[in-house]
Amino acid sequence: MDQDAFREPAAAQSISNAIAKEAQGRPMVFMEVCGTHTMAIARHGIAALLPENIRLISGPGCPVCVTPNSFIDRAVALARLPDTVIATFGDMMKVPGSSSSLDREHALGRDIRVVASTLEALKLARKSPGKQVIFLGVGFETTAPTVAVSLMEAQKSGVGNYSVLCGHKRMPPPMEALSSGEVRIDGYLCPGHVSAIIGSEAYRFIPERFRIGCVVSGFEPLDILQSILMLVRQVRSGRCSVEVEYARVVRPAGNEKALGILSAAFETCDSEWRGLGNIRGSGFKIRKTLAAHDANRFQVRVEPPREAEGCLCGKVLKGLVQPTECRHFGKSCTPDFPVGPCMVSTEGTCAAYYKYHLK
Amino acid sequence: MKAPRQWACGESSVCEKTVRGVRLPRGLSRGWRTQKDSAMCLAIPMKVVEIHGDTGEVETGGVRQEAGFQLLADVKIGDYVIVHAGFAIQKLDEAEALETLALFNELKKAN
Repeated sequence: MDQDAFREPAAAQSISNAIAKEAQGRPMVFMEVCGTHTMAIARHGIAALLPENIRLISGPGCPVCVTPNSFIDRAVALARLPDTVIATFGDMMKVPGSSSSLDREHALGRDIRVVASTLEALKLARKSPGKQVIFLGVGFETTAPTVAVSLMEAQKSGVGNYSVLCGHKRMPPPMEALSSGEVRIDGYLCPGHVSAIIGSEAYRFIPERFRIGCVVSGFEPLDILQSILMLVRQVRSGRCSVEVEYARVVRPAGNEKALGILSAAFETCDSEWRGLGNIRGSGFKIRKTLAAHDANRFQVRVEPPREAEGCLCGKVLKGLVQPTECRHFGKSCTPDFPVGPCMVSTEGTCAAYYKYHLK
Repeated sequence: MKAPRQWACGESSVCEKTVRGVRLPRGLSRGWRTQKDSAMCLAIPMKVVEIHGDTGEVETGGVRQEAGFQLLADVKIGDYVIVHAGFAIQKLDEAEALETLALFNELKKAN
């Protein structure tokens, strides 16, 4: 299938015209809660194709960005243990913790490896029998099942030196918190690949309880424009429901096999989000049956968390401020020298603003 | 907290060989991290070309890579799947994709 068909300029212009016509000058605010959407919107210049009355804001959709300092600090403390290897996705390396980062610990000689999948981390554990390999589990419902598979395989094949430091989070609870929060939201662009796992039905409570429309969107420019048009139509007609634009991948019930594996390895728990605080039932923790692979069994002293002075990442994640309103943005905080996580991740709102000059 | 200038590397030229006097481990260079940076949430459609039990190979644009099929039921060679962090997480429904494209075409004609 030709992906270019989802990027055709003439069709983009037509959808853009339809949005301007149908919105009829009414102010609308739509929030995307997926880092890949944030990046795609910036990269394809979607905002420039929208009329002035439609504003897009970014929510807590970047997993690295919402991970609190306390998690990074624990990972750093674990990296300092003898005979320990930390395995992580590359995004986590530069994220500043309270006083250090994985990148810094690596430069100081700790064994920290970047892997592309959990199976690579598991292989690493098999090849390093004298060492404890700890994978940093960060991400939403898209990534969590891949970590669940590695935990089940480690248990099944008796890889005793493989553990996961679990920082996984669930997307619907923060959307619930934001829906009754301080920012007015007229519609959500729901994350495509989180929804591939959890299904579009998972958002049903949002239109029902908060009267806010939801459209599950794909990642190509036409997908995003079409989803915005669908949201505009919902607002205009006064109805609100969950619609799926990304129907080629997202089913109402999601991926049932992946959900089964997810719940076999994890149970829900309260979880702390950067900027949003502690949200009930918003996290995953490793089930007791897999406790032998839970990195929380290692006793380490973790420093008390400290936030970077003046960093507005917390407010950016709630859609309260634009990155350019932060005094660090583009000055003391750049992708090379980040102060806050939203500038580090390839999916962070500040990184998107910086890269595509949305000043 | 002050911006951690001394230990940022990868895409900058600040720390080629040493960081605060500590020699960088071998292999830490410009491309060391960037290749795998996008592992976190980038999921793209790829074609299944080989299956060996729970794992196999997927391909897009002539690039092949290993993928886990543990999260999907009934994967067949020739299926298009969304691959995320090394795992196929969902199958691509071609009929739905064509329907979406038809919708775009309708809008184009209407304008």
